[in-house]
Amino acid sequence: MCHRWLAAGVTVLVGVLLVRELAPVLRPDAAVEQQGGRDATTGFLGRAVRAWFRHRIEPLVDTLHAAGVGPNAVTAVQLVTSAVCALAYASGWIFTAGWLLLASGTLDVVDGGLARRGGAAGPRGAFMDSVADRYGECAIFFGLAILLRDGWALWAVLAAFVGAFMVSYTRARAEGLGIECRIGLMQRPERYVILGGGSMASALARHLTCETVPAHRILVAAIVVVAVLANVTALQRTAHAAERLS
Amino acid sequence: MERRRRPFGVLGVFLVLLGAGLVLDADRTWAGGGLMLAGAACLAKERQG
Repeated sequence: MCHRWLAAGVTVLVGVLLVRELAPVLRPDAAVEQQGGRDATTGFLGRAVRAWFRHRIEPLVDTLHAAGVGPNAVTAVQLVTSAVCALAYASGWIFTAGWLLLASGTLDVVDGGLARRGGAAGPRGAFMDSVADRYGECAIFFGLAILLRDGWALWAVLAAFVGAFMVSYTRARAEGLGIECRIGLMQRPERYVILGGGSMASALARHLTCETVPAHRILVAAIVVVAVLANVTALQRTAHAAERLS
Repeated sequence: MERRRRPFGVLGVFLVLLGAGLVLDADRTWAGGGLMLAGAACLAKERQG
């Protein structure tokens, strides 16, 4: 069934919220003065947007901390959310899947905040968090692969999957050799924002045009962007580490 | 003493979008509509401060 008016309402609401929230943050002078602008380690979202998001999430971290919720519990919920997101993609629930993807990314920020707030931040938590992140991301790409299994977009999903894992692997391998390696345009928050936002935009476009057979064009475009830029980021990190090691 | 901020803004946005998702993806009009109303109430609460 086509929900044109609801899709139009949601599009306007999200647009208004984004402009209201991000316009002050994205002013060039504000970004440079308040947050130090963008550098090679912050991806294309930039330091100002990341700082804004952490600021918006802070009340949630406070509330969970006051309720005695630990970071490991949030990591577990994040993993479950990623698994449900994969099921949503596999079932063709694109808007809900995008929502779950953004929720999973938010929970990843929340668990880090909770660990720091409770003084529980340490190598064990960081390691467990990274493992949960990889499994979660794996589940999400599986869901996307099931959704887009009948067309060329499956190849884009596989390329994005490889790129996403190589971005993490190159950093982990470089850091294992004692080299800081956080550079690159397409880090995990960027992947989540592009795929989550692309999924939701794709579903909204489908309802706005009352498309009977969903083609998921915006979602496929988002996957292609992730596939290209994640692999570029992995190569950037490889070059950076190789230069430092030579 | 500084009053602790409540996460109504974040919750409101997430609830509205989850409700919209239920309607758009699964035609669950009542469940989705209820969640959207709850989200709108959270956003209104945040605006009140």
